[in-house]
Amino acid sequence: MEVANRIVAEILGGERKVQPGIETRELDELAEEMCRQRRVKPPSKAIAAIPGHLRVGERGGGPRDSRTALPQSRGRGEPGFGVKYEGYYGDAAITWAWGKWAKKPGP
Amino acid sequence: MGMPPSRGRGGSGRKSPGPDYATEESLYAGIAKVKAGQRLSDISHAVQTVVEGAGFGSSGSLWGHGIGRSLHEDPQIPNFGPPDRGPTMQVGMTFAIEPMTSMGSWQVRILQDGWTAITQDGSCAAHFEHSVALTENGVLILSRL
Repeated sequence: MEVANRIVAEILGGERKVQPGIETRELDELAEEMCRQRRVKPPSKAIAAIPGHLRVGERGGGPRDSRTALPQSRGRGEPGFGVKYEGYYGDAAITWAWGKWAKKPGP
Repeated sequence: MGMPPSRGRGGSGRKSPGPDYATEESLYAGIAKVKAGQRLSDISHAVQTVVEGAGFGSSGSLWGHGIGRSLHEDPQIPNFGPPDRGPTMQVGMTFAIEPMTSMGSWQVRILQDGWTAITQDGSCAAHFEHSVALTENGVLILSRL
């Protein structure tokens, strides 16, 4: 589990590309490439209930589609990631935010 | 530019305008309760205390869990609840602690992709998670570089 989680942390660290303008598809591809390099598979490949392995969007998550570009003005990215390594899972998540955020819900 | 997450114990020391700071702080407050002999809900209560103390609400339906041979194992670890309830933590246990908070509704719904979670009212939300192990020497954060 220690190795699995270290890999998760490395991949999440690589997700510093979560920033205005980037497409969620690019983040998926980046994560998949990092998995390939480390010869691990994200749970999305093994668990049908989790078809995607990055949750990114504005306003606390918003899926739209994989080509959605994160907004320039303000946004939030929440990569949550897990991998399976030698039978054990690692799992972690972080949240990035940029731009000016209102103190109350709503646009 | 995205703001990178803190790696330090106890959070970033930087207050952000949304619930991010409180969520991250609550994660580390929960992790601090991972001790042999303490009850599982001590984690939940610590998370809730920090989040609500900052004026936010915890997710009512998405929460932490055991982790190991499966991604999601028992026990479940809600992000709220009274202290001193549930199983007693023992050395060798591994958990994923993952507070989720929002500035509005604590109710969430899962979108059609089966993965993306959003708040019911579209309010700003945050999520931080670490996998941890309870060792003879105390809690070890496995998912931190």
